[in-house]
Amino acid sequence: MSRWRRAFSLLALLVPAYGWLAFAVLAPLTIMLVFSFLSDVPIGERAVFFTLDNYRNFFEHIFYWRLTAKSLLTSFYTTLLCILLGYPMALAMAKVIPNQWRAALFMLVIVPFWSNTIVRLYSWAIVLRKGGVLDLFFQSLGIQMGSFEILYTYQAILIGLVHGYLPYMVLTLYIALDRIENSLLEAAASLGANAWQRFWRILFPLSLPGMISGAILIYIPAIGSFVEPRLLGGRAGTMIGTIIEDQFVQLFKWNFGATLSFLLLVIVLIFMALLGLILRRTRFLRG
Amino acid sequence: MSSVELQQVSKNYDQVVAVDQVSLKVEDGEFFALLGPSGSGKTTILRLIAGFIEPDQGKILIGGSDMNGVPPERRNIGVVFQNYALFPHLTAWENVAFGLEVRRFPKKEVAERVKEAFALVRLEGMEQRYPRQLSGGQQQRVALARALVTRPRVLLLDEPLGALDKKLRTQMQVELRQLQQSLGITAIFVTHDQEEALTLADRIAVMDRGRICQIGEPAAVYEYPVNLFVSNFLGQSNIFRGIVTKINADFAHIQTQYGYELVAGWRKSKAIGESALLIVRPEKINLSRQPSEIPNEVPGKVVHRIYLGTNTTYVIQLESGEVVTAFIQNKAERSGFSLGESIFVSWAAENCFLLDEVTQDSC
Amino acid sequence: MSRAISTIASLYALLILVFLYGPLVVMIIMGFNRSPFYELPFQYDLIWFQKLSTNERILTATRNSIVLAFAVSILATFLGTLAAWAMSRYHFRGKNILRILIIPPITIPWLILAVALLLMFYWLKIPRSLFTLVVGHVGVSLPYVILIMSTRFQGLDSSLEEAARSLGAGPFTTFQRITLPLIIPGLVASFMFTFAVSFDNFTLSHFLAPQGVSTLPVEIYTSIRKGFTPEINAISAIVFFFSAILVLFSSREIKFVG
Repeated sequence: MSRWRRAFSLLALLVPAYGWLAFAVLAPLTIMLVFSFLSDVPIGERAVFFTLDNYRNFFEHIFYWRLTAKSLLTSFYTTLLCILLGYPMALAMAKVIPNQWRAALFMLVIVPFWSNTIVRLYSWAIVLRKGGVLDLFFQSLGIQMGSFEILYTYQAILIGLVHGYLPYMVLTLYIALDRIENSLLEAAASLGANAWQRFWRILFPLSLPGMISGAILIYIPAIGSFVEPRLLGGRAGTMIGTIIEDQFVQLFKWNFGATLSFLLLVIVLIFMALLGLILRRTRFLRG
Repeated sequence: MSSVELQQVSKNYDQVVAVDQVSLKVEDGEFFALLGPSGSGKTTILRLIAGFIEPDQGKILIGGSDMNGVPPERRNIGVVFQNYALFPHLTAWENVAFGLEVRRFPKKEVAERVKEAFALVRLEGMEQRYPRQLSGGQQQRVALARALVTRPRVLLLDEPLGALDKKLRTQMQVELRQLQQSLGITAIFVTHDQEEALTLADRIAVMDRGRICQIGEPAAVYEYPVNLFVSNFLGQSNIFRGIVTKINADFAHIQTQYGYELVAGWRKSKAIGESALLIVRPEKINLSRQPSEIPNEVPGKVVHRIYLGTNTTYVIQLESGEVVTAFIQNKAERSGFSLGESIFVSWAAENCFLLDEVTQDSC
Repeated sequence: MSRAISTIASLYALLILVFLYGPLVVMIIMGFNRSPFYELPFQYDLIWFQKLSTNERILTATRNSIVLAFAVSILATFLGTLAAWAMSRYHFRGKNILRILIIPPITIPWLILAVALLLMFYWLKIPRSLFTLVVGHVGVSLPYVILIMSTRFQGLDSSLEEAARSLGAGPFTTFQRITLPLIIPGLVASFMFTFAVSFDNFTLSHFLAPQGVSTLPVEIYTSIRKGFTPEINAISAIVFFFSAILVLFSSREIKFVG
């Protein structure tokens, strides 16, 4: 094939997909950046000029800083809980549970992960609300602590987030743990390492890349969550994500919304780079 | 340093019998080979000794102590795995130091011993490298050093040289043997390569389908196999089927099914009239253009020849239609025989033996 | 593996499964309960499902979601496969950059992408419509398809195609008779994955759907904000079973173990 024909066919194959990505992802993000520097939305004849006011608005009000920190912290707690709950599960699946049940378990973990987010959160709302299943359960046990109401609290948001992201962690950890050959653990045993030592010195370090991959898949998207706070958080459910949504849906302050969104993007990219760096440094762990 | 003993050990997997009531004893300081085809149970026995699996029946003793219920980490063994099982996230040094560190040896002693171990396997200078940065042969040495540094009672090796190329393998065989002898450590070695077993072992156990066919020193197992399976597994065999016609103190005469009268120098308690197999190995055979006085001599024609450098393999078809293989060393004074040439195949009576007639090739 | 550890592991796995499925199961059961206020005792009744069948809003939203998901899946699978094919079979500079470019769309929170798209369409004076929705949905799905199909192509032995060519088959014939049949599992996986992602998507639809055009997740969300009614349980139960079946079918195709 001549050079030109080859180049042409290559472009024909790549351009549609990447062009779409450029149009649907890159361009919008750039425009969002532009918007964040504008004073107003360009409707019709309204005068629009370049300004830093939106950014000033953010940086001058501690409220927004606190909210960003809260979102980052919430993401962190979510990731941590997913690791703590997910690691034993992945370990059980990869190393303990007999082979014939593994595929079934795998399937069972995936299904909630793929089911509709709104549906999932709604089901939690039903369970956690006052008069809901959990409340009735504790009442039937005779526990009198007012009514057991977790709904519309910060804890409820965490529960909703962990419930949604846990399968990510379980699955990435499972794949990582599964790849660790049993002969390595047998070798460690033959050298005198007991069960804890085998776990801590061999299994755990080799599973780190998987854990970090999982953390990336959880921490970064979770920063921008707004559905969980809205549906489960009630008044405690204010996070940077909900504020951004407000700007567009309620307050019609699109420029400020663009600013917040862009700042959130910067934070996300920073964390992505950081975590990616850590991941690359652990890549050599994979034999 | 200890002896290893198996007493009537059996192990099943689902419906398959992997090890069938095996008993054997490896003496202290011995280099013992478990030889057999895949599926013979040799690796299973190794893993039973190591403690990675528990026997369904029987006892396993190391140094005279019953290992029932004792996990691998408390058996004080060294294992070299087929794929080396080097920890990829640790340097060579850290790999070798691992066994000492989990036993909480003081740092100074760890450093000394590890240094010693690297010198022992002649891999100084590679300590800071990661396994993936080492060649196959180097990885193998690290695996060896790691297993030896803890000064285990027994060294278990699961086809450790399988992944190496021929030249390296031969070299490593020599080094391994020297190492084992200088350390005086009891070693049990699993292989399917009969040449390897013959080279390295003090004694060999030939296994097939979970059972031990024969245990003995290499020469004994090679020259005096107890059945056709062992005879075929170690080296090649030319087989003549026949009936025993005469027996005296040193020899047994048989008449083969195609009428040859042959004499064997060793027999396996045969009586006159019994059917037997006469086995003569290819390297024991002489070829010549003139007949001679040797009692075992049959005429034939060369139908195939393969030049192999050190020797030439001749395939000769006898008048009876049977086919005999001969290995003839390539020496200048004996010019080779050409295809189609008529020659005489002969061998000394002491160089062949009788085995039971069997219908299938197994223990 | 000692018995104790085995039992603990199984129990733990069970606990996690209870955590993952518990609320969903409760919600589904409540969909069959007569009481409009989720009161016990439980009385089996299909009344909410019946009400659902006459609820125009939800039915329309469901139909919109399905149609949208179909369109998005076909587009994304097609375009993404082409790109993945190019990346695996051609050598050119910048391939690594293209590979890296896939990562941001997958990890950037959808909120940001939705906002950005909203702004862009506004600025370009393109009114919100099903078209803008499709643009957005395909945009976020493409990286997944490229990822899945890239892996598929990598696993595909190129010597198979070379053999076909050596036997006289031209590029199109080779693709049609050799390559295509072998990548069908990957195509199916991509399609189903994209379908699930699009059908489930709330964030993008929330921002980009025009007035009067609703997708199912948006509709459920609105209903929840207005208050709890078991009709929502009913539709949620149906949606859940639907996605469960989808997962079961496509899981056979997607190889999660790299």
